[in-house]
Amino acid sequence: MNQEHDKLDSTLKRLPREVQPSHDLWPGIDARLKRRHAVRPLWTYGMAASLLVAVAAGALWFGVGMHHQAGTPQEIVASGTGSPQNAYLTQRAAFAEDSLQSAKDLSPATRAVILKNLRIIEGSMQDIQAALDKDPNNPRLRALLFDLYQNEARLLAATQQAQAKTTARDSL
Amino acid sequence: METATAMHVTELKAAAANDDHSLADRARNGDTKAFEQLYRRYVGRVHAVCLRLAGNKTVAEECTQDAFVKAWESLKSFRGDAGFGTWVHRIAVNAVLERHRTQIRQGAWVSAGDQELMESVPGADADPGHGLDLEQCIAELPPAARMVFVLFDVEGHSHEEIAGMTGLAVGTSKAHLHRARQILRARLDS
Repeated sequence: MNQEHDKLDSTLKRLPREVQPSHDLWPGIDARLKRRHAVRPLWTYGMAASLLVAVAAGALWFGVGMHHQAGTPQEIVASGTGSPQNAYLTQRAAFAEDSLQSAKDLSPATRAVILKNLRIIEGSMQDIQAALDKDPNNPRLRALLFDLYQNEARLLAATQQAQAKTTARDSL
Repeated sequence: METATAMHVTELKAAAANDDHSLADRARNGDTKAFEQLYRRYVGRVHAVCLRLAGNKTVAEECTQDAFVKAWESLKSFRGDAGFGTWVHRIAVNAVLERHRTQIRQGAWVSAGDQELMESVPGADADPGHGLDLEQCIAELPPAARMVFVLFDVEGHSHEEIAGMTGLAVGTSKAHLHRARQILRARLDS
């Protein structure tokens, strides 16, 4: 072993085993641990979306009217689930409200994309619903409408997940 | 004599209550005070490996935090086969490597040579010719060469283990180590 090797090896042996951080990291860790308890697991967003889609499927299968109810998500939620026809719409509105509430912390560009896509889906739903009013038993229209409800649920779930990831990243 | 024995038993009980496994058990049941004791016991070791692997003080402190948060979340999987220190150390290495992979994907790897690194090395004034120089030289290595050097020469992993951790081929790991050593020897000699 030559002299250069000796110098590197001997210097390596002197490296301290421990290096303390410049400040106490515990308060930050402690805050994150407490926050984790309150954070909803990401899989629950997907589960909520799946449940919503299942309700939509059931409603469509049994031919429940899916006419859009006027009002904001909050108003629809406040109106309760008095009639079976409103059960799906109420759940959907609650999920939408939860998702849009979550989206408040996302970047303006991301929010704009989400809202634009929601409007496209909403417009398509209204078109198909209008067609279904004239031809209520058309299976193709029902399938199309179901696809749109699925897409909407997926978009809302993705919005909540994106917000959850943003929150988790900010807390790092 | 009896008093001495009683004191000895009390000390043993206190030591047992504060050993890593007992603290980990308590932490697993949600006791953050117990987890804080583990943090205080091992933060120096964890931060040292994060600092050397990342070559950047800010990233190292973030990875140290990440490692302890991940350890807390994974306590259920800690069976105590290895010591808590070894376990959390491994989590810390993975935290830095994961960040490295993410930054490579985003094309935003932090450049090496963080001047702040020097401030965080203890005994920097006392030993300007050895430890400090090497810490700074390690920080200034190219990222891949630095990671392999730290994992192999400082942490004692084999090239096969490094390949498993980093996704590099064994031959590539050896090449990075060779390059790192060449650079370090040249810098230490200059």
